[in-house]
Amino acid sequence: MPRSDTELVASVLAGDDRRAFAELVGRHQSSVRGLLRRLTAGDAALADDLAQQVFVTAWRKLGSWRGGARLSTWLYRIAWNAWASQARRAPPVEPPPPEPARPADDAALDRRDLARALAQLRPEERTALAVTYGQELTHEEAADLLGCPVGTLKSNVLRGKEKLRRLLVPEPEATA
Amino acid sequence: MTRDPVDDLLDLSTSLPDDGFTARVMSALPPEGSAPRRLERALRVLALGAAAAVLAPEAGTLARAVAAGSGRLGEGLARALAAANGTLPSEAGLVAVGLALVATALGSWLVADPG
Repeated sequence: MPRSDTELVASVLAGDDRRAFAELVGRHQSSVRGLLRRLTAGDAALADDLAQQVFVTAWRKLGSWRGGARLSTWLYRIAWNAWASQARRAPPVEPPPPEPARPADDAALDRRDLARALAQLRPEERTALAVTYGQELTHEEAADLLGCPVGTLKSNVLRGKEKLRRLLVPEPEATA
Repeated sequence: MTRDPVDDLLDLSTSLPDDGFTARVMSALPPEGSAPRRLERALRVLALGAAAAVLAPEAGTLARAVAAGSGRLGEGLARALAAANGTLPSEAGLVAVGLALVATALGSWLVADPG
């Protein structure tokens, strides 16, 4: 039976148990890397560098994790801080030029399209979408993570989605 | 009821294969058994203090400094151990505490018999 996050953390803290920590990394790598890929608008290399930084920080500070909150939420906070710190240091990246919208019958809107479209959103819209989709966070948890009111988060999600819709979903052709 | 295509897109599986990521993280961790940097610094200070106490002609004056310093050192070591959040291997912790005790004893002995 797989051990819970709490048991694995206890094992790491009690005896420098690297196997337990590797299990935690394996368990959470996908969601942390996924979050960072969205925040970096699809820059997989940068996202993975930041994700590595997140887990090394987690290793050092594991004792400060309060068992009451989910470990994933704690990791997302570290990831958010790592990304925010990186974004402050690095100049904003110019979004790539938009590609022409595909025909309506082409359903294969892939990750690359999404990354390209996400890069064209305002940072707060992209961030709001990144933390509310695919991370199993409630709106309250996501707003707490970003340090903004729930209403602001929801507005940014709506605006971001509307822009994505315009960028990714072709308008149906008007019938004569 | 049809789903919003943007929702579908954003909900694309975020499950990323590990692809060696866990191994990469594990290799980036500090080596097993290594003490935190602050603790290493504290031990270096201890070594320098002990060497100075042996070499200096004014042993009495230095003895007081060693006694005072060892108290601060013990405090520093305790802080370093706390900062390690329990990830410090117990052997290293025991060695550090042992060295602090030796420094304290040495300092007290020199103060008691400075001549």
